Amino acid sequence: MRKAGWIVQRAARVAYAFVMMNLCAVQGLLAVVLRRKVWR
Amino acid sequence: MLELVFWAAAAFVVYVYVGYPALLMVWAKLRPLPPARRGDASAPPISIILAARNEAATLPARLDNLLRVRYDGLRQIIVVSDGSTDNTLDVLKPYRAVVDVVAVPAGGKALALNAGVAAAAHDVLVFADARQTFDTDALVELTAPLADPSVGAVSGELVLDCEHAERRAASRRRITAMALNADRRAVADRRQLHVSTIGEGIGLYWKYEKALRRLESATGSTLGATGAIYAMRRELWRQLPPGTILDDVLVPMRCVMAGWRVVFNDRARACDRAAEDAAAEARRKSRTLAGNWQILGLEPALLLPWRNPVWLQYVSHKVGRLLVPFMLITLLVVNTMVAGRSLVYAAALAAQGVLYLLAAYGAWLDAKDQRVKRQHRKRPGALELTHA
Repeated sequence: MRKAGWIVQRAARVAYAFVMMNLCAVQGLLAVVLRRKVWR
Repeated sequence: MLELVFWAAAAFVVYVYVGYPALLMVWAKLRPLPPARRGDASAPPISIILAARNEAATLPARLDNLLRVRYDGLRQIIVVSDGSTDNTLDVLKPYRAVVDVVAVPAGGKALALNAGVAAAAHDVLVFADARQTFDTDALVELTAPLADPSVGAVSGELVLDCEHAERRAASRRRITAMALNADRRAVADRRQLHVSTIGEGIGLYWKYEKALRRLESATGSTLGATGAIYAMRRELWRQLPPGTILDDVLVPMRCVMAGWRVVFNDRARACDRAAEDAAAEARRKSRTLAGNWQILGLEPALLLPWRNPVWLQYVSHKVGRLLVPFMLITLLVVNTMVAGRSLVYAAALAAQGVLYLLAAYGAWLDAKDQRVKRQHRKRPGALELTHA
């Protein structure tokens, strides 16, 4: 049971990193188009 | 028609993250480019260029590290202060005998690097950042592949603390020992600080990214370098346009387009810490991906297969990553529209739902990590564990 929980948490972390990276790609495009630094 | 769009978008995403690495693995196996020849022990004179803005706190340790790193050849160290308003120039005073200091008005990293290269005395340029540290053999390993006349630039490997197995193991051992005489809940909270949500995600992603670089290097050239540690022949340097976000992609890609190889040497190592939280990592990632969009404007020829010798790799890796989010949106929208048509589409929609639910759970875990971290900051003595 603990192992299953660990696997779900790990999968959640990877999924979060993946989704966040894709959101950042959209944000990066907006930054270049709008000439704004969104990363400060 | 909708079904076709669904399958095309799905195939695109799968190709970028799974198909392309698999293709590279096969490619590297069937048609590997011979590894860059090792140097003949003679170390070429190098100019190490470090652009810094308001890095007074980190520079002394950084310079001590650069001076300590083993290297038999001549080394010139150039620190470009990019309009620093702290006491960066003051902390550099004790190093004046061994470090060349160039002070320029604040104009961004690209202009600072241009100024640094202008001050370089040697034919091999090494680029470094203020925050990281080099391993003892980093300079030897970084310059060795340049003995191969086809290699124009070499990228080292950035090792993040969150992927450092030894450190993690040491942390775990320490925490386990503490568990013997500390209350269990407090230890569990502290453990949470070490294996932070975002740290683990970044660690995995960075390992995947480096595996790709290794494969790309083995099949020809990597598509960029690690900004914190890369070297190149000075003759290949071209002035960076002001406002360039990713010098470490633009510079190596210019080398590749000029017909040179850019290789990855994972024995040349720099160490850095991972972003502390999701917000910091998001800023870093946004900057990187904005830089990749910007490069398409600065060097549009990268998209032309007859101009870019690594076109397939570039489109599959760099451009693919930029387009994936739009494909994911397409997938979700179209999948919702066709979900009722067959079990396959219903299952695909369910899988997408699971992915986004997991991501939401991951975001919640990260927020929890941050809460715990904040609580420990408020409690005196708690942080000695987190930085052990």
